[in-house]
Amino acid sequence: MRLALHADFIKSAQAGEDGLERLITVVWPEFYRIAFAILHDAGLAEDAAQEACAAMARSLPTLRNSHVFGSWSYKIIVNHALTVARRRPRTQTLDVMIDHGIHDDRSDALDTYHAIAALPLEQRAAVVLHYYVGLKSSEIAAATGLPASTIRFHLMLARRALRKTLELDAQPPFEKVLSDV
Amino acid sequence: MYNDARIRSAVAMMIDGIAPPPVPLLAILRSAARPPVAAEIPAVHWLRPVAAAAAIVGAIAIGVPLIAPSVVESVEARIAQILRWTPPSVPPPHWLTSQLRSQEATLASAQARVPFTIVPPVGLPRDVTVLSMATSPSGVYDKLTGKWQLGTQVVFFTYRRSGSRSFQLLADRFDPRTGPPSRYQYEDTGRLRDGMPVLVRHEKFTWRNGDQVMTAIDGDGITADEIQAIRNAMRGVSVTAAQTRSELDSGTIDKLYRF
Repeated sequence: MRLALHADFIKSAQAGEDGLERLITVVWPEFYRIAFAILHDAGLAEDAAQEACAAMARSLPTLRNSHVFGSWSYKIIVNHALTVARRRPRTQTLDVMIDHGIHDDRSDALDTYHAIAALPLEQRAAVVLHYYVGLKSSEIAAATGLPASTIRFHLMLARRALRKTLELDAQPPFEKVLSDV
Repeated sequence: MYNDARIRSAVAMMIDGIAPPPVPLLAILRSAARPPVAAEIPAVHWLRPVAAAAAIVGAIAIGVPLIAPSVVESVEARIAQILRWTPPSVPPPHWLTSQLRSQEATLASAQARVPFTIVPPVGLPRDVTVLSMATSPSGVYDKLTGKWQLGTQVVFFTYRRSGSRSFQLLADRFDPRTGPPSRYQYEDTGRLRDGMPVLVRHEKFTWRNGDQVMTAIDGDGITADEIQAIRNAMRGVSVTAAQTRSELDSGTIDKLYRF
């Protein structure tokens, strides 16, 4: 779990304004990255992350067990990202993505970006929560409100598609041509 | 073979490579102070008049910086800090705003009123049903003299489309004195109890065709992709948005539009 923050840090955020500002500053990069990985759109990711941070700040006083902050906050950002995606579906070209999104010159990152971008929305969210955040299917189910069996199905399809795409990209060009014949 | 561990590593590497923008702390805190609203983006009224000079006269921002509220004395100064923009020190006078009235037009009559060659929009979304045109004078604030004056006429293209949606495109004469345009347009949707405005951010697109400069912002009525399709169909040349506050402030005039 990436957002495993110290309980005192969470309590400080629940208690006072300075603590809340510090908490938002800490979670913002993670929220934005997850939103971007799901939405593949810099503007929409910023909207989703901003709305999720505000929702988190509003609901924080009701969080009784600070040890579950990580899974609780991931649930918020994923739900906001899915809401934004359903509200304003958009696509982005690779050029736009390179300009505004991934600042990483490793081609593997771009291959993965393409592979994830090709997945349907729910599979994308499941992949991010499972492979990046490290949640189990039952935890993803709790976060997204979908049955665990559906999540496992999404993950199976996503895994199959990712393997296929990434392995194809990893092959040398001549092998790729041969396999296409 | 891409097993789970390799997929996990590839996904983590990709997501870790995403560079987040600066945290819009004040916007988040303002939004958190409001009761939750239905998940929808308010309709765009970006050319709504003057009440929000900040939203109209440039309404400019590159991003939302972190600031220490203690060093900012007034609401206006805080807005300027948030927008990274220096508003005109003199508000537009009543005699000026009262003259910013739009007048219906056809392409021919509009062409007769404006001092530039109108290049009408093409490449519009397929579900556009109604077009109406209007012209209106603009207001011009001279930063050097600190005075407002009536500017030349501009053209508003208003389109209606399915789903009770509509959008506007604004055509004006290109004027290098305005400096580079902002990347975002802020819509003032109301006030909090402490007087702080509730601002909704829209992406702004500006392109040139000859001496005409056209402006559009995304929203419920039109998406960024659709705006870019119009710009491409018009073979418009994108005007690069300002990247820094000094670039934003480099113009010697600000313009005020009212539909």
